[in-house]
Amino acid sequence: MTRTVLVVDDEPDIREIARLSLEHVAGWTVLVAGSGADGIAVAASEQPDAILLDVMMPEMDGPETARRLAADPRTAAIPVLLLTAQVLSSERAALADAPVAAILAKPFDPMTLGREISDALGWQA
Amino acid sequence: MTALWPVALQEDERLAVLDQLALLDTPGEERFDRITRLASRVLAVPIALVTLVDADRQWFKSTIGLDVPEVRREESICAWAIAADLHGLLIVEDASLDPRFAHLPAVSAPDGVRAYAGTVLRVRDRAVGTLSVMDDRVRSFAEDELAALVDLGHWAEAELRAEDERRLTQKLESLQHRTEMVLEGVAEGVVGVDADGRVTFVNSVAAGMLGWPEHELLGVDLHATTHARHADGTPYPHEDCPVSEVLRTGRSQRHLFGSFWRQDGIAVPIDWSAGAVREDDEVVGAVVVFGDASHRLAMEQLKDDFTAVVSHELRTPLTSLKGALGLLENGAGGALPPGAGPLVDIALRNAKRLARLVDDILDVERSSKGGMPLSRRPLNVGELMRTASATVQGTAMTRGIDVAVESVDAVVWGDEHRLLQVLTNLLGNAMRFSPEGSCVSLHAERDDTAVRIGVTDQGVGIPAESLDRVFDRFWQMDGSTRRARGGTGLGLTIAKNIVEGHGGLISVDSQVGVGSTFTVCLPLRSQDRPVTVERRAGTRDQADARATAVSAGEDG
Repeated sequence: MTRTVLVVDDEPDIREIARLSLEHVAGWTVLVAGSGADGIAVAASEQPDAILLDVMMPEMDGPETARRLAADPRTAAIPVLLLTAQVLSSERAALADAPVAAILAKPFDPMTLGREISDALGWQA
Repeated sequence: MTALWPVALQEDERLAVLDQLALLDTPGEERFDRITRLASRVLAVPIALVTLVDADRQWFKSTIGLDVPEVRREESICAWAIAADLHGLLIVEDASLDPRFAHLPAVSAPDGVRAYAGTVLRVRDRAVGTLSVMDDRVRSFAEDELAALVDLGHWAEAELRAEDERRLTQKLESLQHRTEMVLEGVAEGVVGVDADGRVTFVNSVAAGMLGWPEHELLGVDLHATTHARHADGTPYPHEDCPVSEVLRTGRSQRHLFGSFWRQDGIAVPIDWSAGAVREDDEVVGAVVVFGDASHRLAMEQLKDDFTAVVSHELRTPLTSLKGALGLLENGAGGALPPGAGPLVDIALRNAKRLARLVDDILDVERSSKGGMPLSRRPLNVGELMRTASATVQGTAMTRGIDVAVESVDAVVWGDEHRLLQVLTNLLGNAMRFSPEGSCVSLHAERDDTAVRIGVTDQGVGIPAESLDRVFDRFWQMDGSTRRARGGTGLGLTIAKNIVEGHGGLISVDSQVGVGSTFTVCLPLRSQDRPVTVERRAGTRDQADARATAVSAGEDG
């Protein structure tokens, strides 16, 4: 079954790697956004099956974006996965109460990213 | 002919006392002149002297009937008085007939000295001079005259002793002043305690840092007043305090870190040390020296943040690089032209290596001061060992190394991911330094309190002189090893920090050409607070000697 996943990351290269990985390896349809605000807009209009969210982003960070997605009735039902390097203590603290389905480690392996998302969300391969 | 006087006993000490008196070459003083006047009158002699016998001269503090300030010691009769009879009188009725004195200029001169009587003046039980009388006539001295001379001698002695005491007091005061100046001038807090841990002195820096008026600290129990709780507010028992240990054992404690509580209830982070004060081999107190650690902690925080940010900034492009190369290698970018495969492989391998180094630097920073969060839960050691072994199986097969697992049934309270990291790191090292066809063994044993997991290889071994440093950051066997074997030099440091974070110990035993055994000892008790693994006497002495103990407490 073809899934649609939204990748939200402020780093264009990471976005591209995630897109290539999920399209070519997992065979999904991938949407991308470069900021939390864009991500919310795309999620609301395109209704992806899942949202992959970077934690460290300027202006609106991952946890904050996740909170807004959860609070928005148009996007509340979409599972959110956070991608984190868990480097800074402030970052770790912010993760503690973020409304997300799973937290994935960064850097991710492009060959297994799709499987990790599937496993975390209980999707059948 | 020159007759040398017999050297007085304890000449050095005698001269030291004389030096301390500081009366040599000072002007005449009435307090001594009145004694010589009286001596001259009572004994009816023309000459009376208060003399001080220096190393090479006899100097006159007070003279009646003589107008030279000093004579050479070898020309002095009094020098004999001091040497010959330290406690008594020297009496000479006719010096011109006495072989000891007949040749002396004072005797042989026209109208020279004939009769002499001198009594030794003693200060701090050392003969420093004489009260003496002389006559140019041959004569004897009556008993009551000699008694008067002795009495006057005691008087002169009393004056000398008073002077000595005055000098001593001055010296003590100056010493005390200097000590106070040092204590006040030193930029660190200094507190002295007696054998019961009660404050005996405190400098103003200490009082300021502790937020107590100096006088209120004097006499109080230092630990109970300023140190009775840990930084997190939990009780800090008196017997656990390093100062108590110093008082108990007499061994100094250095590089301590902890919190002292101010009078206003604020905890101050402190770097400190405590040393023993001894009197006749007995520990009678301790001196605590301390400084505010806030600045150091702030700098460390800054360094940590810097490392974290830099690492993160390195990771982001590395993620892209690795990801792109991985996708390329797997054909996500289309089929690679012939010859490109090996190049992509080289690029990918090195990108991974760089990423591993960045990860290790981050890990070592986080784990070094317990900053690495541990998600602890009950873990089956046997399963952990089997998982670790399975993880390295691929590498083992590539290198033709057999990994043998001999597990044990035990449960520890640990972080599965981190403990696996430790075991795979140890196994990876073991394989890296093992020849093809050899065996790496992962084995374990347990008792009631701890489980010991060992990784033994048949590799090159570690020289004895390097064993103490294998857990140091960036330690490698040597530069060539670093290049050839491809480690980052941080794995063992991280492993040690992780094991210690679990309240355990890691140790190494090795023999060059035979192999190495790394042993991880983890406590079996499942408690929230890390417990320290007790060392067992009599087993694996060598490994235990190098094992690093971890204190569960805040200090030390």
